[in-house]
Parts: sequence; structure tokens; C-alpha cells
Amino acid sequence: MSVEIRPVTPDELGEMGTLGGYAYGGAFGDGPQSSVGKYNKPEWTLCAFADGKLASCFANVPFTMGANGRAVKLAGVSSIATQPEYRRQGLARRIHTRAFGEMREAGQNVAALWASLAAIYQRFGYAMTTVMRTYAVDTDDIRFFDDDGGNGRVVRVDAETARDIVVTVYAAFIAERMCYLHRVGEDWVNEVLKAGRDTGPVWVAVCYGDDDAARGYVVYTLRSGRVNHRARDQELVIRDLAWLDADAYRSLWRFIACHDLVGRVRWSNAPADDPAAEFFLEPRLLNAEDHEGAWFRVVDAANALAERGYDVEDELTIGLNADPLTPWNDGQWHLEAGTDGARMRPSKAAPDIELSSKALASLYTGFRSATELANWGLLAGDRRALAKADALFRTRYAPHTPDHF
Amino acid sequence: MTVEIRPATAEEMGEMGILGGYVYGGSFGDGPENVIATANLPDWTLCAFVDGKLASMFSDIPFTMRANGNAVKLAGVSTIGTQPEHRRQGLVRQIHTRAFNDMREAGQNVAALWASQAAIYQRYGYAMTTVLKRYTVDTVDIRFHDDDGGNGRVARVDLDEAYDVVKGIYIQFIADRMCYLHRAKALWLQNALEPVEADGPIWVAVCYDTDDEPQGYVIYTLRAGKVDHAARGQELVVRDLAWLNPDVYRSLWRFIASHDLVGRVRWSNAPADDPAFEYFMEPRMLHSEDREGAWFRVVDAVGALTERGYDEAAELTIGLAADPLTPWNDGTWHLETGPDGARMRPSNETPDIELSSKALASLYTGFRSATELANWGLLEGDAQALAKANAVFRTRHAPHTPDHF
Repeated sequence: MSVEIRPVTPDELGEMGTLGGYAYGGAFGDGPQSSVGKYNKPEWTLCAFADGKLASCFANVPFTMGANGRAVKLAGVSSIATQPEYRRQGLARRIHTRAFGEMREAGQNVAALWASLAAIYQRFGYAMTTVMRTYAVDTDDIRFFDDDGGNGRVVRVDAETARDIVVTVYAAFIAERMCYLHRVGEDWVNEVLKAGRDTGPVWVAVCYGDDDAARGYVVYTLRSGRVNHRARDQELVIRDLAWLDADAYRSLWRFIACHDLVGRVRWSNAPADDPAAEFFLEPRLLNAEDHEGAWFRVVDAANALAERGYDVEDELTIGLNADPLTPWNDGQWHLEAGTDGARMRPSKAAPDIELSSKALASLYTGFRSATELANWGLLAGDRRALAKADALFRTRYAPHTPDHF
Repeated sequence: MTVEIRPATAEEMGEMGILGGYVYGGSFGDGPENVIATANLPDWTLCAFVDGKLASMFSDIPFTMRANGNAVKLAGVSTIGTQPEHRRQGLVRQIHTRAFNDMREAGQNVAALWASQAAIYQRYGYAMTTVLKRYTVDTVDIRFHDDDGGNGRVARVDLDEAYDVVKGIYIQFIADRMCYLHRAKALWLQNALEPVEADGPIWVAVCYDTDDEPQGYVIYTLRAGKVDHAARGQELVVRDLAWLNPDVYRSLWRFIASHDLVGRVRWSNAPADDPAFEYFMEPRMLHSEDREGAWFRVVDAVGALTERGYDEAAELTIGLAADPLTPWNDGTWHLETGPDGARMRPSNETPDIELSSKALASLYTGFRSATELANWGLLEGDAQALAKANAVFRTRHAPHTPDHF
């Protein structure tokens, strides 16, 4: 069997669509025009052809993400699938090995994906570093422990007005945050504002502050007959919510609570550090559940750690365990970080902390602290080094990626 | 109407039992001989008598808990109930006002409770600062992403011999942790080792290292006919699990996985920083859910912040918002911390951080960082002060209280 690893040609995209339809069981459509065939560009792809036939596919969607105050390139790994006849033959590993090299050359120092199965990707050094918090709450239970429902003026706006506001507020919302994607172009706005098959119209409510500037928004849909409740049978589904201060956040919930016929508000992609549990009178009625979020992988450690934002000035020597998929990361590195920037250089000093590629992804994103990783045997370092690493890698906000790709 | 706030006498304990039976709907038994009457001592109680009749009750069970390496007194607030004829009359507030004073005099600088409803206790400055993580996993899904199932020898021990072994391990397990209770024999028998006929026998498996030293344990029950599965109809319920190093933790799961007839392992009081997620090949198969845990209240800020353990040598000026329930905490305080101890004194300086009683409970326990609280508008301070406060209040492990009381 001869195996060739290369991008697909435009003519082969349909074949990729068919493979995606099969591998995902139709979740993204079937046949050549499935999402896998339609939304990928040939130059994003990297596929394995066995004896000339498409056996395994992969795409790297080029994103930019927030990294604690900085913007960094992100490889959005997607559309991974292998024909059942070619599974267990190491094709995804061969593709990944080459893809990591190409990402590095393209300055994509970090990669992320949504895992169909975690088992497949943990072996390539990805770590789950974001969660999708799900709330399902009755409007009758949206009450504040301190009676503070915010002072913002919340009003619905038409789709045209909404476009500019959601783009601007979102950009300000994610500026200091971690792992949120930059949403560029019209595509995202169109997608989030587009009505689904059974969603009804898409509504956008904007929260304005005293100066009439937009301070937050919620994009949502509203359908009746969804809740088994005699007086409140409507469901309100939050698609996206952003806020620039705590008052706006409270005001948006107060607005949602005004929907007296809604028996269930569902929000399925809230961040791990969403403050609802702190503000609600009866937090358990949020019925919060944390579901698996996106998985991240540090592709090029020297550059990923140099281009991320830091809030303290310090130096740390980091030992990275050997990893055949990213051998350029192996060894000791000296990180010098500050609020103005960071530098990484090879080092011969004894490392303050030692860890694997997978643990590095957890640390880099701020999802796990060095202390946590050490408690679990996933990072080595003495107490002083742990304190230093905790302070260095702490992010201003919990890492979060609400967008599926 | 005359209201008298005083402890119940020994003769009045039966009346407390009847009141508890009514307000908890029989959860703890009905009538004068139920758990409320028999498990409380008169001198733990503080009740409101209206015109000589028991109207509202409360008890303060004296516990000791871990506080990041130190042992501190904890008021275990329990058995709060008010006759429906006397609700909305402020009796619980009157009791709490006096109780906080009594606790302070007794050197109980921190209080905790399990909330029947959060709404009642948030107004008294309690904050939810621990979670109960719940796993529901099939034994066939207990697999490690790195194939490391630990090297410890796990063997069941006779229940009579088990007590001394598990107690010895538990003491070491909680030594550096936060919010775990010191367990007297009565607490062991009330929770982890409580005989419940419907659960069948209580099993204890101990993990030994290569020197045959006990390094971890799991206390569990095993019942058939609980899972709708043609081949794995048994349920294994983990009541308590402690481990002194990650290898032991993995070994205990490997032991659990060897129960081939078990289709569901349920563990309902795991800590927020339990590492199963990091070790499992398919973490989502844990069906993890974070449920509301115990609520904590800082009663005497000076006492509490002085006696807690710290890993960072630093100084921080803290402004505490006025709180009529604990007026002795109001104002500005200078905290000086170090690994050897801490001191707190009144200060005239401008505070580095300012916060409420409720936010202080979140910060004290390490459940929330100063940065998180600031992001949510629940704490004020500049970036430098937040970084310092984050480092000072960081705990070695997530706060956790697995024991109900």
C-alpha cells in the first residue's frame, strides 16, 4: 500500500464531504455537499491517500484567538476522519506529524479541536482545556441574592443594528480573555443571526449603559410548546452572550427573566467562570452542568509561550518531556515573562518545573494551575517553583471557546 | 409576643426532634426520637422560644477542619428550622446574630452549613465554597489515557480492622487540604461507615505501596439489580476515597474497574480537584456533574485569616464592607502572611482590596480567586493587588467538605 500525505485538490473536496458524511454519521450532512465538503478550502486540508484513494482527511482552519490580552494564531483542527477500511493503520498520526510541522512553519504555535472521541486526541498531546457550561433555568428562578438586577437599559434591536453591536461588543469582551476566537468577516455574524429549521426568529437584545453605549448583548431564540408547564411552556435558547461589566451581565439576566411565559432558559456554551452561580438567589436552580469543551495542543512551545500575555514579571526554567510529534519542543527552556512581553530561550539550567506536552496545554491556557498538575503527578517542581508557575500562567479569565468548528 | 433566645434544655430536645421532622419533611425521621433530637447535644443548640414555646431552632456542632495545612475550629451549623406559624418574623436572624457572637467567643472563627435553600443563608453572608463532584461511570469505561493503572497492591480488609487503617490515611490525606473535617468516630459512623441495610455490606479496599504501607483506600458498597444492563447489573457506590499519591489513586480506580459485573460506579462526593478527568481515556464517560457543596461564613475575620495556612510571604491591606451581623470585622485590616504564620491588625491605610463578608468566604477558602471576584464586581482592587491576593489566598488543594452534618 502506497500512502501519500497531501492536501486535497478542489476536485477532491466532494470526496472529503462524502467521507465526513460517513464518519460523522450525517451530523454535518451527507455526500459531497456535506459541511466537510462545502466549508473547507483545499489549502486547509491534509489528507492521506492510500493507493491513490482518499483514506483519511484533516483540516486546519486558520483562526486567531485571544491569549490573555494578546492575539495569537490558532490552528483550528477539524474534519478528521478515516475510512473504516483504513483505520488502525496510523494514518491520523502520520497526518498529525506532518501537520504539526506545517503549523510551526506557519506560525500557528497552538492548535485546538473539538474531539469526537477524546481517546484519539489525547495520544497526540491535546488536553481538554475549556468547558461548555450548560444552564437550564426557569425564568421564575432568575432572582438575585442581593436584589441587584443591574441598571442597564436592555432593548431588542433589529438585525442590521445588531450586526455592528455584536461585533464591537464581542471584540471588547474577548480582548483580555483566553482561547476565545476572533470572529472575523461576515460569516460568523450571518451564522449566529441565522434562523435554524425549528428555532423561529433570532433575537438580539442589547444592554446600554448610562452613556447609551452598548455594554453587552444576548442573541437568543424563543419557541413555545417546548416545556411541559401549564403556564410557562416557552423555551428561550441563548446562542451568545457578552458583557463588559457586571452590571450589564445582571441586566441581561433581568431582561431574560421578563419573559414570563418562558419555563426554561437554556444556555449551553457559557464559560467556566460565568458568574451566575455567584449572583443567583438559588444557584442550584441553574441546573449547571460542565460539558467537555475544546482540546488544545501547544505546537511550538518557544513561540506559544513567548507570544501569550502575562500579568506578572518573572523567570522560570521549564523542562519539556520528549515528544516525537513535536521534537523541537524537547528539553529545557528559560521563560522570561512580563506585562510587556515574554522571551523563551534554550537553557542548560536545572528546570524549575518539568511536564509533558499535554500538561503544557493545561498550563498554557490557564485551565489547570501548576499546583494542581503537581498534585496529580503530571508536573514536577518544588513548592516555590509551583507558586511561581501558578502566578505566571494565571489568566485574567478562565479559558473558553464557545465556537464550534 | 415575647421572644427568648437560648439553648434548648435536655427535656426540650424531643420538641426539637418534632420540629425537625416537620420542617425537613421526615428526611431525618419524625417525632421526638429522630436524628435531630438524638444527634444534637443541648449545649450545641440555640433556639427562639415565643411565649415559652419552641418556634425556631439552630445548632452549632463543634468541628475542627483543615485550613491549608493548619487545624482550625469550625462551627458546623445545622438543624435550622422554624415552625410555619413563626416564619417571616426574623427569628433565624436573631438566632444567627447571637450565634455569631457565641462562635467568636468560642474561637470558632469560621462557620459552615449544608443549605436546604441557598436563599436563606446568602443573606447571612454564607458563600458556597465547596462542590460535590458526582461521577457515574461504567466499569468498562475506566481506562487510562496513558495506560497507567498504577502499581499499588489493592486488597479488601476486614471492616473491624479497617477503621484504624483508613483513619490513619485520612489524617494524612487531609493534612494539607482545605475545609475537610477532622473526623471523630461518630462522624465516620454517620457518613463513610454508616450501616444502611439497603446498601448491603460496607467494603473497604486499601492500597499498599511496595513497602506494604497503606497509602490509600476506598470505602464502598455493592448491590445487584441496580443497573438496567444485561451483563453488568450491579452498582458500586463509592462512599469515601483517599489517596496519598497519584499512583495510589490510579490503583484504586484499577481495582474498581476489576468489578466486571458492575455497570455503574457512582461517586457523589468527590472534590472539585479530583484528577479522574486528567487520567481517563474518555473523560466524558465519567458523566461528571458538580453539585452544590457546603456554604462557609467567616465569623471573625482576624481570627480566621490569622490561623489559616499560607504558602506566600506577603502583606495585604483588606477593606471589609460593613456587616451588621459581624460588626467586629468592619473596616480596614493589614494582613501579613508567611509559611510560618500570619498576623492581622487594624489599619489606617488605603485598602489593596475591598470586599463583602460573602466574598471573603470565597477568598478565604480559596474557592474563588481575587481576580475572579473582581471580574464579577464582587471585589475591588487594581491588577497588582489582585495578583498579590491571588498568591496569598491560593490553597494547595481545592476546598472540599465531603461530610454532611
